[in-house]
Amino acid sequence: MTTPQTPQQSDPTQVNGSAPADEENFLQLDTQAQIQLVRADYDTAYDLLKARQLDRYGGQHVAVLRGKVVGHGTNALELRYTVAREQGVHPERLAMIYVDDLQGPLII
Amino acid sequence: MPDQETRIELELRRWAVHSIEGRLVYIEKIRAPVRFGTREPFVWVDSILDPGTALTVIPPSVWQRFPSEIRWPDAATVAALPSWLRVFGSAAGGAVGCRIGFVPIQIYSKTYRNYFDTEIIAMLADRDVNLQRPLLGLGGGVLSGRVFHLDYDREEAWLEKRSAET
Repeated sequence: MTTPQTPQQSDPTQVNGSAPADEENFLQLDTQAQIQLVRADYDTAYDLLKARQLDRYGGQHVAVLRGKVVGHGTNALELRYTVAREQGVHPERLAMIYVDDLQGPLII
Repeated sequence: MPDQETRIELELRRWAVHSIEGRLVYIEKIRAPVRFGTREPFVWVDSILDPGTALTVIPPSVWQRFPSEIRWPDAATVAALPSWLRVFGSAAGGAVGCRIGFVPIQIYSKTYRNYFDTEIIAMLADRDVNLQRPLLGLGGGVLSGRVFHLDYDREEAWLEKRSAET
């Protein structure tokens, strides 16, 4: 797993470690509200993926929170828990997708 | 709260393209947002519907997020399992041991507005190898009671509840 680097607010694909604590009280929300929060970040992740803005993370999982990439790494479980701790959110609050390595073999 | 409905829209997602003699080929998969388990907070995993896989395969980085919600078969049932339900192999990286478990899931539409729930029989892999996302396979309950539709040219895919007439 890669720890967050220097924040660059203007680029959502740059790992940003400066997110605030979990002000959303994720666990207190009903299911629909939880889905909406996480869905928004999944949509962001896939938009970035489609725009080829995540190519630099090929072969890794990428974690997105509040519209920004907040971590990346090859071990999905470790990434989820580490980033959640760093960001002060519940692990299931994170949207995480796997970025295929377009420079490597196609994983069937 | 999302509704259970008869039609679940899936997503034929494409994210890389290359032209070969004027014909386009893609990295593309049928994406299905899946909630694993039933407890709060939900365990949400973008999964791949892969009817070419015999049974659903879930990597440990996913199923270890909800181990208490997996129903494991009893020892006698496990002892009777054939080898093809204990180990799977793939083009992605050799033989991988697994356990069989019963997993409650909800498959959501791409709009997240509706879903259907079911309990599937799945292979819970003991290591990730190159398996990065759950593969929702042909058997084990994912498609039971449903008709799978794919209109490739229109990039449309959906699951439809089988009616009494069909």
